[in-house]
Amino acid sequence: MNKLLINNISVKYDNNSGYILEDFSLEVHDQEFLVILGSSGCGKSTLLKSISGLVSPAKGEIIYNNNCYFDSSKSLNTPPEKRNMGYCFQNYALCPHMNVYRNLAFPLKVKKYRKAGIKSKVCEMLNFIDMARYKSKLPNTLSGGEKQRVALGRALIYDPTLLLLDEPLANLDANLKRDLSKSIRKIHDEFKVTTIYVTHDQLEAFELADRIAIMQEGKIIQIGTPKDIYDSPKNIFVAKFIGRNNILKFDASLYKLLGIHSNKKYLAVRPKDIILSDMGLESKITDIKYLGNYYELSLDYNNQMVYIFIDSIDDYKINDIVYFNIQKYVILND
Amino acid sequence: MASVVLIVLYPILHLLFQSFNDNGILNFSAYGDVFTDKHTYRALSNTIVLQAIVLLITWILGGTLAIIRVKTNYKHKKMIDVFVFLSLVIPPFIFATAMKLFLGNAGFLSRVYYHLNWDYHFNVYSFSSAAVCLSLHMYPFVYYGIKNRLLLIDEDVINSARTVGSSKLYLIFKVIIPMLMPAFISTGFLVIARTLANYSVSAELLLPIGTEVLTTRIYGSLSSLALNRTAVLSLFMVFLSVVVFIVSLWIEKRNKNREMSVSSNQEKPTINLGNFNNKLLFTILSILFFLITILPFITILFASFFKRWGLKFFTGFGEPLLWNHLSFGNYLILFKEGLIWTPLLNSFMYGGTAAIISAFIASVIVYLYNYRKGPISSLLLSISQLPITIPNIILAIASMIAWRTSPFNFYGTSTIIIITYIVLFTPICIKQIQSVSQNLDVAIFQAAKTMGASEWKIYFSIYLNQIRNGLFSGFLIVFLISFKEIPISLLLYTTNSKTLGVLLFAIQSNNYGLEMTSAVAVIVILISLIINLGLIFIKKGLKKYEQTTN
Repeated sequence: MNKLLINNISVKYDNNSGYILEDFSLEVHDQEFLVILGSSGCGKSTLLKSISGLVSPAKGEIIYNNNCYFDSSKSLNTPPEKRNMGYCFQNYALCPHMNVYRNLAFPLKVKKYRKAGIKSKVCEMLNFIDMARYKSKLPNTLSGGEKQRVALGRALIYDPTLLLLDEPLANLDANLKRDLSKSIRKIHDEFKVTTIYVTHDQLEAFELADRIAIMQEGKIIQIGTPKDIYDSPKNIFVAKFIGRNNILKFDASLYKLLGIHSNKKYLAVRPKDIILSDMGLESKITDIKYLGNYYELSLDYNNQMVYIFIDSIDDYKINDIVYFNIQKYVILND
Repeated sequence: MASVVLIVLYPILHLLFQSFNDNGILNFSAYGDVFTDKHTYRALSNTIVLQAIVLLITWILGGTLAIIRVKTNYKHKKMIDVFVFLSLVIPPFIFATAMKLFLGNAGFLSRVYYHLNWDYHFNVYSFSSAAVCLSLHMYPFVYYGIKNRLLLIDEDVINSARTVGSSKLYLIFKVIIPMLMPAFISTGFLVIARTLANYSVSAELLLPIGTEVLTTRIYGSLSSLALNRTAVLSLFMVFLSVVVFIVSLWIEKRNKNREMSVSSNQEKPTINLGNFNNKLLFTILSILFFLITILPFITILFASFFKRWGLKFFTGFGEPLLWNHLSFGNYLILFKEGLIWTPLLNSFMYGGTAAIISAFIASVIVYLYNYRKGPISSLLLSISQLPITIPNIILAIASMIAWRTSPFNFYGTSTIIIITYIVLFTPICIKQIQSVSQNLDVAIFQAAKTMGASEWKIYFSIYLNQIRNGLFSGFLIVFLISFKEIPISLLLYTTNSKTLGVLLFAIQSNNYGLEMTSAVAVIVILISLIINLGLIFIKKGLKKYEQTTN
């Protein structure tokens, strides 16, 4: 079973700074596609570097496929070159002096494959990533998408047991992102390699992930399937981070409307789960925006901003008093 | 702009003509003489050996210091930058003078040996001495080239090589060295070209033992008034320089697609030296910089306060050094008797005038090339950049031959020095201005045109303002060269047009000795330091100004 276990690792870059990851634990299942989602600086890339051995944690334990790669208590730290993990960097990290063929062949040469074996494997990979016609080109003459395909091919060509992808689509335009994210998922399904994918783009996360782990300030806040995360955000951070959500503070009217009483302070409601009706909570329309398929109404409810989506605004204008009801909500931890 | 073509091409064509001119008859006899003379080949092979030694020393010294500076967590990195900068400021001729003063047969070290009753056998007049002096001045080129290259290397490329399983050796030989290769090659060509062109160090340390290199052979040929042989040798040297230049350009072009983009990863992991190694390295580097920078400077400074005449310390061995052996006499002679004022003023005047004209010419040429694209502007740029491939001594010889006959008889006047300086300086200014104008937004000029601005209005009101950084740094760099430059002024000066470079090189042969040379050297180093520091402060100031105005 190619299961990855990270137990209580703590990482900091130098003695003067604080921990980037502190007592961090995570379990990644065999052949799973796990997406780590978080904003810049939350420690996602540091996590990948710790798993690959490029960064040494101050303490903790990293076990993969029943092999212990890092254990601070035993002073065990397997160097990155011995871990057999595929790593795809955000900026591609292709060797500028090697053409596409040589970049792909590089890991195989390092691992002392026979010449014939290298040739057949590289040709196979060139076809798989659809780069055969560019095999003699240098990286600097390729587009961003082409470079990324080569980088992915290089990370996969030596059959790594774990694939680490660090924001591989961050530098690409929207259309290319969509195409390549499909290719990445296809590669995962075909090679059946356990994959950890780091991104700050929730759309990518939802497209690709078997499970999503939301990270904040070096900690995992919530982990689950995309549907779990979307439907049941655990706290305000996740609710705000994933999709559009109204975060409302409980008051007497809300308790009465929902028919509940809670010791929690906040609830999250998706705009699509709020409907206008003749009765409900009173509010005033402060803004109306046309967003293509629908309109977004901004409502002022007891000095709290509430956003809702409606199909038509024939009956509404700014400063109108309207009433709304909540169809579905999640009570949040603070 | 026709005058630019004239001042660049006319001397070169004259040199070519002179190579066929055998007392008024045009023939190839001088070519036959030069290329059947075994001394020519000996000078050539000596030059190549000297280049090889200098290349090796500069690569090892500059490369190692750059790697320590960028890739390790050495605690005193500023120290490396400061000493490398100082080495660049000190002209190689001054290193040669310092070496003679310290290591020569009557030098300071030999006196210490004498007191200790040890035999002193070091011969300062040798290939290795000349190579060391040239290397000490040129290793900063390699240092800066490798340092900048190392800063560009994306750490993730190295990380990716590690994650696919590269061992440290494999990583060094297959990834890091190939990525550093373009910098080693380009700086190597610079070192080769500069060693080929150097005259003063070879004249000082190799000629006394009868070892000739190409520049000293050319100068010797000129001294014996064999103008056609001088012209042939000069053209041969131009040919070699052009070959070096073209090969370096070809390699640069070939490597263009191998260039690296700036790393987005700012956390540059360094080689952790640890406390002990840090201290050990500090000790080693302190000794190294003491030997290669501080000691030459102290030697020069010390010697500049020595009395030349009537002291036993100099006339006979065995006397201990006493305070009364030291004096301000050398400086007093230089300043009170006015020995230095004319050369200093001349250097200011010629350097300043030529620098202003060169900066202006360069700005117009770059403007025309960038915004009036066409065959004429391209040709103009190529012609004006041609002198960058020609050693200074050859430029001086070509000028001497060309500007001594009607209709352009400037020989013996300051004009000939200024014209030759302009030819030498313009390509340097072009390079500086081009580096700035590459980043200019063409839309600014297009906008001015749509508003009805004339070409000259755009040039003066917009373009000059936009390139002011390049213009100013170009001006200062060439102005600085005029204080250290020796071959051009040495060949073209007369009594009234002596420069600081001439004074530095020639004063020892006027019965003043190395002590007076040292005093002049101290002044040259101080002027160079002041101008260089000025350049750094101005660049910083302009950067700050730009940041606040943007």
